[in-house]
Amino acid sequence: MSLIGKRIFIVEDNIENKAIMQLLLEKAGALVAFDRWGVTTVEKALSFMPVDLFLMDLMFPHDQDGYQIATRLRAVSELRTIPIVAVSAADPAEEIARAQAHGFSGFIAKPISFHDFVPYIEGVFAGKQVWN
Amino acid sequence: MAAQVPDPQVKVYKARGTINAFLGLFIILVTVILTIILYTAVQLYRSSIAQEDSVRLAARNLDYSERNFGQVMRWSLYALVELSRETLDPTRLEQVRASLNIAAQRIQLPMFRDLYNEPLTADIDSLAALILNDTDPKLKAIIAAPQDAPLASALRADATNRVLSVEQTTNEILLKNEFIRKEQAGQLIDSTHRSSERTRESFTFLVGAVLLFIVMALFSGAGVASFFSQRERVRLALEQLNQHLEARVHERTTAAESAAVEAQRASQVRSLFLANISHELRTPLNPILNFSHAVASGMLGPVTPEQVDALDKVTISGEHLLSLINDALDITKIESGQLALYVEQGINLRGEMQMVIHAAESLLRDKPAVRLDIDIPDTLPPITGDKRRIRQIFLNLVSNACNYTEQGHIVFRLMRVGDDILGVVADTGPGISVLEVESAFQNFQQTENGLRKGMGTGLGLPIARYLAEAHHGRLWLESRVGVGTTFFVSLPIRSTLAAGVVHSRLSEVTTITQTG
Repeated sequence: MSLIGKRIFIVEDNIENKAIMQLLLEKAGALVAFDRWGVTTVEKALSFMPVDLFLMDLMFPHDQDGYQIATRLRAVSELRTIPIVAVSAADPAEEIARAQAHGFSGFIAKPISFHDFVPYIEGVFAGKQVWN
Repeated sequence: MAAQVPDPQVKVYKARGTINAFLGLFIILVTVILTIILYTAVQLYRSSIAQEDSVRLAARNLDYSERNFGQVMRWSLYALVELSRETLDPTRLEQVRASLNIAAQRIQLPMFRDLYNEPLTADIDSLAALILNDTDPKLKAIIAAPQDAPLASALRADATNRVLSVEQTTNEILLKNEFIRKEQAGQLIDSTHRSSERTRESFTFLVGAVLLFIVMALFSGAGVASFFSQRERVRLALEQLNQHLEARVHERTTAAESAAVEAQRASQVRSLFLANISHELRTPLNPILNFSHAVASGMLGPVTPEQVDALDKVTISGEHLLSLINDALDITKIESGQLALYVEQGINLRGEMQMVIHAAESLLRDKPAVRLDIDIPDTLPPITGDKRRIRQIFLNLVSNACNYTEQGHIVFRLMRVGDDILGVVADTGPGISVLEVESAFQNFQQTENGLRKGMGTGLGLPIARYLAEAHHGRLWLESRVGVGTTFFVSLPIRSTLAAGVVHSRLSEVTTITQTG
């Protein structure tokens, strides 16, 4: 139970994807909250404080992407220093560079690895950057 | 759009201009020749005038000679009259003598010699000699002795004879003169006639030449003017052509630019579409694969071995589907030049290959007759490249080896050879015949064994080779039917690829080394 007590906020439009991540994280002892469309992320995150980590999908409907949501999070002083890790089915070759440029702490490709997902998150809490 | 000025028109203008220039030059040449002829005609005319003048001079000389001979005769008669007088006056005789001598000397002037023929000249000479050598001393004698009657009588008789002789000679000369005069008159008439004819001819010729000259000058002037006007037309035509070409070049450039912009836009659209479709296809596989794992792992409650077995089949199929989707998307990206590498330095190959080894072990779980030999030393140097893509190269090769080999062994080895990492994946599978080597590297092409097994998409090898080449490496194989296949991959340790996102292009032709 390596993630005991960790408060992890997921931003993900696909409910099934959110569900599997939530399952794995909660089984590891973490507390999970989420926002689906990115519109109310800041408010929900503020009500879930202290958030330890954001897991951010990158592609959203309505011409919005994870980087814009991340920028809005960074604009709020309480949320500014919380690490953000991208979890995306987009081509890592293209997105890793952008995620790094936006100050993300890692990129986890979808489909996530059943065995490696929780160890990656543990790595982030251990101060490592995870560019899978 | 500029007016069309076809190239041949310029040539026609140029040719016309050249012809006119030559015509002008020719006309000028003809004019020069005419001027020379005209000059000659004028010279001829002048010479005929000169001839006429010489005839007139000769006539004048003739008059002069007549006068002189007349004088000789008159003086002779006068001398005779003086001598026949009773009393001789010495003073008058002296006058007669002086006049006779002058006349004798004068008829010997060269101008008369030119006028008469040889016998007549001799007559003149003898007449002069007679006067000067015979008559003159006798006159001198009678002047010295005017009273000598016998001498006077002898002189008188002598003078009478002499007068006849002088008269005869003078008459001959006058006759001759008459003849010459007639001849000269004829000559003069002829000459005058001729010269007037020449004058007329020359004048006609002159007028004709002048007219011709004027016409020629006009023509040559027109020719030269036409040459310059043609040249101007050529210049204008060329200018127009240039403008037209410039306009056309501009048009084409604009078209090419807009085509390039359009192509770029299309490429961006395709790129976006590919990104979206790959995202959309992979997304549902995330819950499929992971919930299967979750249930099978007992995370959600107790499961029977049969249930685990069933869920494993879901997982295996899901992973196969994922690899098919990934391969199809990769090859589409490769062919459209959209495949990007995320290049990093310091890649630990031994670490990255763990996943490949796990996949191989998993694939060989049901094949106890196949032994897996792994040799990846931890002394391998870190390399530069896209670690996911390098992993993919070896995953494709090792998966192939596992799928095609039913017994024997599979070797997966990485080693350093000079500046390269050499990867070797050898199997004891059915092998690939010489005829099938080329098609093994073609998209969607499979060997007979592959088709028989009904596995894969036939994209694994082409993608692996492309990825090796995108890393500036190579991929080749050696195979023997019935013995097995060995794949070789060489990757440069210090790649010239810059760190970051690298878009690579599909190489034109890839040669395949095949032996055995």
